Parts: sequence; structure tokens; C-alpha cells
Amino acid sequence: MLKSIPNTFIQDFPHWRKVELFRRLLYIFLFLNTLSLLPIAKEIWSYNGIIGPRGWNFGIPTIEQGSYALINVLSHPANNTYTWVYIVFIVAQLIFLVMGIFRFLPKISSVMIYFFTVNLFLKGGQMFTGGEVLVCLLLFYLMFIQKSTSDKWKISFKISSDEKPIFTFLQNVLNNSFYWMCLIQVCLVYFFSTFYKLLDWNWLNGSAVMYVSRIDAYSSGMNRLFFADNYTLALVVTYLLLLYQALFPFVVWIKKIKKQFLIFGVIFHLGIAFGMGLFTFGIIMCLVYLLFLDVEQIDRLVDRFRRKSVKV
Amino acid sequence: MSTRNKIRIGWVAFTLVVAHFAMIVIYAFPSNYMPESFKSVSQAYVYPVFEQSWSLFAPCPLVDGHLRVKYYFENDSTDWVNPIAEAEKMHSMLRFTHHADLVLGESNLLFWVVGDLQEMGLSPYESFPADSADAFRNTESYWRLLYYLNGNADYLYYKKPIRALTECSFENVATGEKGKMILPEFNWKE
Repeated sequence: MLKSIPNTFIQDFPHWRKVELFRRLLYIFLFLNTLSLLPIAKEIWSYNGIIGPRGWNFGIPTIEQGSYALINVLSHPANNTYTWVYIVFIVAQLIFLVMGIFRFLPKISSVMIYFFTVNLFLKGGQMFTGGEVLVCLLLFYLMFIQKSTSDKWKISFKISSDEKPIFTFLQNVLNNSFYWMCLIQVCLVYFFSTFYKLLDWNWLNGSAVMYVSRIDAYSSGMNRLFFADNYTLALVVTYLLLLYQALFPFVVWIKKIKKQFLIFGVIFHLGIAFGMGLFTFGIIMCLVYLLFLDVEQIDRLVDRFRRKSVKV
Repeated sequence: MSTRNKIRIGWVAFTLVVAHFAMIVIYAFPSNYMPESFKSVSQAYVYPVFEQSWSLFAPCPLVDGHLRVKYYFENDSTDWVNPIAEAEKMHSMLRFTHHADLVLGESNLLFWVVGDLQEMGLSPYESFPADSADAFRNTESYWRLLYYLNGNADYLYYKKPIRALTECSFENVATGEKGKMILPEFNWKE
């Protein structure tokens, strides 16, 4: 048991295809998400938009602000003069996302996608959800999961099962470490989400879903119809949600019931996406579940999807 | 590289992963569950790149808020308007459009307004006392509203306002208590 711990980190990285599929789907989602926000891009991301800048501390030299300055570029007061900077960030994010989707210069594109995305998400934070926070963290971890072989000038979309990427020893250590960091990060989301809810009386007495469904910003779908005045149904759903979130960090490692458990999770998050209207959050959480599936399960899923597409 | 050294590196990687998440766990725990000294160490590591809290919908939001604005421009003014009326309508029919973000943005803003009012010892269901105006102008929600109203005037009317009045209506969805308040005037000419 103890010996398997270091081996987990130094073994040949076995999850490459899964991570690549996840990375690609995440990039496609981010690309569509940014396109969907273009009509209000100025309002969200410009210095004098609906959302104000986060502030800039001139008391500390920029170089000493370190990572804070790097991810807070759109809040620098220079944006007030150079009002086009946010447009550069949007265009650059879209370009690098396309490069990432087609695996063109994968290392550079993953770093740039992180840089531009985190700056855009941080500036527009008031309009976003925990989903965007999770994406920033995952994009950071994904920067380190790479191939050692260099086919950086080759454009390819297909992730072939015959692909045999080569990893150096150090790259294997990085890939394994950051892969596990992605998984643990998602478990932490559920752990803390449950923990904070258990400190709140309205979650404990089962009325939280009923109250949330009465708030207009979260109840424009079927939520109000089902839960606003139906305490019993709301109580059942509140406890089901609590149970699911509490069990996630443990059950998701049990092979036998993982699939059924994640299917419930997908339904739960699609409910959040369409019922509550927190679309980005719901879809991101569904995407993240890919990381918890085995490669064989993903292959079966892709096969089924392909067969259905052919039929259509 | 010898197998022994490889295993050592494996242990180092494991230790770093554990340390990374230990820092995040300390950072994300509520302050009353974690010693302040631990918190300050973890903050130095976690903030800003790994910043996270995950108190998603906890505590359960209980206040349903809406906002109306009356803008005054250089030569004219508007009636009381709901700046996200169109977004609310579209959001109820469509998902994955920018309308959702506009609706969520205002909802989050009003959440902060309620928080600041409560911190000032004021009830969101009563009218705003005139003698608290200066204190409100020092809150974060005031500054957020200042940008929000200014940005919305540009978005809706393509012009800059000189001042604006804001009416917030709040309803407690648990107790049914509700009320309206006019916030202190927002002025861009000062």
C-alpha cells in the first residue's frame, strides 16, 4: 500500500486520452461561453463597464505584486486610457482557445489560455459563479499536464486511441501530480459546499431549496413551479442534494457505483443549469465528471454518441 | 536515474500535493474553525491564484431583491427603470446567453447591498435613514453600485449620467417581510 503512493506519481501517465478529451471539451465550452458574452463584453470587461475594476495598489511596485498583478491586468488604471485592452484579451483568449482545441503549440496555448481566461474571469467576477473559479483552478493545473514529444506545429483535432505519447520521467511526475490535483480539487468543492451548508439552519431543516426557488434570479425555470410552495418536495430535494454532495468525495472512488452516482450528479447539475439558470456552473460541473470516469467508460460513451450521430 | 531516486521523487511529489491541499483546506475553512496564525500562512500561499471558498448557496439566500433607477443626464432624465428588465425576460426563456450573467450580476450586487446595510445596523425592509448616507458611501456595495449604474446608463442610453436615484425593493422569502428604500443619491459630477 505504502509503496503504491510514490509509484502513483512516477508511473507512465495512464490518463492522457481522458485529460486531452476533457481539456478539449473545456476549451470548446470556454470558446462558446466567451462568444455568448460578446454582446456585453464592454459592460463586463472594460475599465468603466457595469463591473468596476478590482483596484490597483500603487503602494507596492508591480513587480513585487507578483501573481496578483499578473491576473489583475484588466483592473490596472491604464485601461482607463487604453480602452481597447479588454478587446485584445478577448481576441487573444479566443485565438489561443482555437489553438488549444486543435492542439497547435499545446504548451504555449495552455499557458496563454490560463492567463487570458483568468484575467477575464477575475474582472467580471461579479457576474460569474463558482464554475468560473473552478475553471481557473483547473486551467492552472492543466498547464502542467503535457506531452514530452514535440509535435507543436502539427494541427490535429482527433484524439486517437492509438496515440502513444512519450513522457519523460519528470513530465510523468508532473502529469500524475496535477492530474490528481484536478480530482482532489473537485472533491474539495463538494466537501466545502457540504460543510458550509451544514452550518446553516435552512439547509438542515430542509427548506433551502424552497427558499432559493422563491428568489427570482434563481427561479426563472421550473424551479418556482415545483418547489416554491411545496415544502415536502423541497425537503426531499434539499436532503438529496446534501447527501449527494457529502458522499461525492468518497463514493466517486468506488468503481462499482461510480457511474450511477455520476449520472445522478449530471441530472442534479443540469437542474442547476436549466432550472436555476446558472448555466455555466452546471455545465462545467458536468464536464468535470469526465475526469472521474475510466478511459473504457469514456470510450463507450464516445462510441454511443458517435452511433447516435451517425443515425441522425 | 536509479529506482531509489525515482521513488524519492515520487514521495516528494506526493508531499507537495498534500501540502498544497492542506494550505487550501486551511484557507477555505471558516475563520472560527481555524487558528488565525494558520490562516495567515495559508493566505500567503493560496491568494490570489488558488483563491476559493465554496460556500455555494450557504448560508441559504433569503432576500429577493430588485432594483429600479432614475437617471439624470445633462439635458434630460428617465422614468424609474429596471435596468435588467429585458435580460430578465430573455433569461426566463433562454439559457446560455449573456442575459443570465446580467441577471446574476445584479442579484450578486443586491446581495452585497443587503450585507452592507445589515453591517451598518439597518434593515433592508425600511426606508434609508438620511443620517447614514455618509457611512453607506464608504461601503463596497456603494462603489459597486456607482460603476453598475454608470455602466448601465452607457449600455441602455449610450450616455453618461450626472446623477441617479436608486430604489431597492427587498423581500424576505422565508418570513414574507418586504419593503422599499431609496439609497443615497449617486452623483458623478462631484
